[in-house]
This record gives sequence, C-alpha cells and structure tokens, in this order.
Amino acid sequence: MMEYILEAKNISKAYNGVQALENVSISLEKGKIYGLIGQNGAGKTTLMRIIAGLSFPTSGELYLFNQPDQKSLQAGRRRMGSMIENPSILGNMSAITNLRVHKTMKGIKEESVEQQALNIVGLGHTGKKKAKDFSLGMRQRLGIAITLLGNPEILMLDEPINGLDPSGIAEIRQLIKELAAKYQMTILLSSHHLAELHQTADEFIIVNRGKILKNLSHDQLENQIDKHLILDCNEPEKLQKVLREVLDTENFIVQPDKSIKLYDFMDNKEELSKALIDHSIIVTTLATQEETLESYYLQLIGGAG
Amino acid sequence: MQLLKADFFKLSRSISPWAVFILALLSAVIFAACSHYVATGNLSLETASGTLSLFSETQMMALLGSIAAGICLTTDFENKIIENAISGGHGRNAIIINKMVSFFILAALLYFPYIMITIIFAFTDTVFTGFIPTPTLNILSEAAGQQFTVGLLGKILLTNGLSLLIFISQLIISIFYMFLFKKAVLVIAATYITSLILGPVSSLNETVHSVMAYTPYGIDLSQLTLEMSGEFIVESLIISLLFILVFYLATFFTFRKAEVK
Repeated sequence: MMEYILEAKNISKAYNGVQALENVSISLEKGKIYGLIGQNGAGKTTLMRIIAGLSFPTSGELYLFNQPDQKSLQAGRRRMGSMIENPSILGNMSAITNLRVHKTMKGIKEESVEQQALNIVGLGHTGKKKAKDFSLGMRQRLGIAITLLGNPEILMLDEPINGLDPSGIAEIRQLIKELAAKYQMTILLSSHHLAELHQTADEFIIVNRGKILKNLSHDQLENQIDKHLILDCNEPEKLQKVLREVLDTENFIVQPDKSIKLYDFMDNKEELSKALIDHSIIVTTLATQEETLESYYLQLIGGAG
Repeated sequence: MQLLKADFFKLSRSISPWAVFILALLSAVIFAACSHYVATGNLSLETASGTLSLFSETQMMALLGSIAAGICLTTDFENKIIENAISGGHGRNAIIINKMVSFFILAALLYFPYIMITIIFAFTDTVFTGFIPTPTLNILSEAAGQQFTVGLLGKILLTNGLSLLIFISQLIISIFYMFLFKKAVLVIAATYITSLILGPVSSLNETVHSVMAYTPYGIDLSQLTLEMSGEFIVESLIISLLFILVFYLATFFTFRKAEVK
C-alpha cells in the first residue's frame, strides 16, 4: 500500500455560508513536487491554510505523516515549512536577523544555518540591509529561506515566484527541484504562472470552485495537453455519438463552438477517418493541435463551469 | 520557551520597547520631582494634581501598557509571526501563554523606573508628598527619611509588587483584545479606553461599585501603602489573579478555533 506523507480526506470548509472547499482529497508522496492549480478564490490558499493549522475544516480529516490527531498534527507541522500568501518578515531587521528570529522560534541550535539558507536563495550578500528595503522578489526569497530552516520534510509554498524576475524564477525553479531531488522534500506549490508550474511540478492538482477537478501526473498531463486532434464537422452531435458508441472513447472535450478536442486516435487517424466516413459525417477540420497547460486548464474549468 | 526566547530576541532588536521604557523612566522622574517640589513648596498642589498627574504610574501604566501590548506584541499578527508559529507546530495555548508572559515582563519593565525611584529615595532625606494617592507617592511620602531596615525594604517591595500585579491584571484585557482584533491600533485604543472608562465607572454608584469591587479596576489604589492590611493584600491578590485567569480563559476560547490571517 502506498504511504503518503500528507493526506487530506474529504476536506470541506464553509465561511459565512460560502463553500470554500467541498470534499477535497489529496495525497502527497515523499519527494514529489505537487502543483496546485486554480483561479483566485478556487480554494488553493484555503486548503494550504488548513494544512498549516491556520484554519479548521468544517468536515474531513487531515493526516500528516499518517497521524490525524491534533497533537500529532502539531508535531508534524514542526517537520514542515510553509509560506502562505505573504512571507513572515520583520521589516526593521536584516535578512539574517529575520532568520535568527525564526530559528529561535523553531528551537534550532545549529550555528550558521541562517547563512546557509540565505546562500541557497541567493540573499547571502544582503548584509545589514533592512528587509523593508528589499524588492518584492527579495522578500519572496527571504520567505523561502525562512521555510527552509530546520530542513523540513514538507514544503508548502503559496505563489512563491510572485514578484520574481525571469532569472529569479529560473533560480527558484532550480532550487525547488533540487530540494525535492536532493533532500527528498515533498513540495506543494501553488502558482498562477501555469507555464512555470508545468516546468516544475511532478504532479498537478487542479482546483476549481472549492472542488478538485483533476489529479494528474506530469506524464498524464503531457499526454493530455501536448497534442490532440481538433475535429469540426457538419453534425457535431452525431460526431459525439460516433466517438462514444463506435470508437468507444470519452476522451474528448466539446468546445463552445461545437468543435471537438479529441485526445485519442492521435496515432490512428485512419481508423477515426474511416468511422466518420462510414457514418456519413462530413469533416471540415481534422488537425493535430498542441496545447499549453494554461489552455488545458481553461478548457477544464470552462467545462466544469 | 522557544517562542519566549524569539519574542525577546525580536524585542531586543526593536526600538519600540526601549522607547516606551524611556518614556516610563522620564515619567517616573518627573512624577517624583513633582512630589518633591510640592513638598518643598516650589510647585502648587493644583498644578501637580492637575496636568502633571498624567505622569503618575496609574496613568502611565494604562497608556504605555496599552502601547506596549499593541506595538510590541500585537504586530506579530500583522507581520505573520503568529501565523508562522502555528504553521511551525506551536500550539495555540502555548502562543497565548507566551504572549501573556511577554506582556508581564514588558509591564514589569515599564513599572521598573517607579520601583527604582521608591527604593532609591526611600532611604534619603529628600522630602515627598502624596499629592495624589498612588502607590509610588504613598511609599515615597511614608518611607522618605526613615532609617534603612530590611523590613522597610521588604514592605516597599511588597507594595510595589502588589501594585504591579494590579496594573498587570487591569491591562490583561489587552491580551484578550490582541487575539480578538489582531490589529495593534485597535488593541492600543481598546485597552486604553477600557482602562480610562472602567476606573471612573466603578465609582458611579453603589451597585456598579459593588460589582467592580470584584475586578482590579475596583481596587482602591490609595490603600496600597507601606501599612496596608493583610486582608487588603490577600483580597487584591485573589481578585487580580482570578481576573488574569478569567481573561486567559476568555482568550483561549476566542483563539482556540479562530482563523489566523
């Protein structure tokens, strides 16, 4: 049986009559990078806040390191690092002093861990410069450095590349990948930069309106998004019927203009064409198209809407 | 303990605790000087008991205590230190207790200049008058000129210690406000207004007074003298400690399942 480092089972959360999360279940394996994808208000941050103990679910269970009770969850959170929304930074202190505050809070005795964390995120040379004078990107990096204190086994980062320039984004991407590979850290990331998330994560959790729409591995996503056939014809309803009943596939999406994105028969277009001709469907478009994660995501939430 | 260490590391690197401490120190000096000049006839009683009474420990503890609770402690909600403590595995009860202990230490720091002045001047020939009935002036006017004895020092420390406990219990509401409002400005305003209102309210009429007598706001501070009775000491101790306990519980139940943003 698969052992999960973090599991959320049927988590629901309602705020003032608004259902922020509805029966959300996720299971995170050790050493993998998970990308949490969703629009603003989809429930990504609410889910992260519940995992971090900042909010309580209305129903459902949370397991950290296979333990569900409050005491064990607290103990589990000591093995986690999280940065949700904005980093916890004291503006009137330097980066290293900020890290010393958090190091003391975590009860870390080791010397020089703060300098190591700063070096990892590329803030090793900020000296006495106060955090309030940092750029947004530097603040994000400092926030990540804080989460790295104590070598956490789970890292939870909400929009970690916000405010970073392209080279900063590439560095953080590299860092996240290294942390997962080198230290077997499990990383849960949320981001609006879907292309970036596509390059970083191993697994994707797509959230919309408080519900999980899809869990996909990177390979599954590649299969879904990299290529598909676009089909247009004179009888779209009949086409859907043929796909379902004759070609035995549900792996297609009907677009608002009634054209169809078909994710099967990429390597067997002959069989597809033959079936359409046999059923007298006049095809006006049959082409291979490539998608981005963004368009796949929009497609998915559009379909869910 | 980790949280407390982190709090004091953070406070030692901030200007605000030192700023409120310096204000408390200046106020204590001005207040003692007023008492001395009234006693020597160089300052009128009306002036001293009017505007200058603002420098009394009762006024200053209410004002600076509220500011300290807001600026030094509540800002942890605004800069997400509390959020990080929770997501880092610290229990909510531990966070409340840590903030209470930090507040007790900060309040003691603010009251320290008044304590030091009573100890320094109690054993000199400097004359003082109790132009308003506050613990500091009671001690100064009673003890000044007396010979140093361990017993007298003990009484001074006891009176100061009980005064500090009463002030802390009056200001403990700031901890409740801190976990309720999570905004420094609101905590400062609400704590100071509560301190300003509840004192005078307790003497409005007999019914209110009889209820308020069970709170630290109803304790008659003029009785905090070197010759205070054992009954007054025990009663004040119980009321103050119970009040602290009640507000600890109120804070705990408010924060136990609260959303932290």
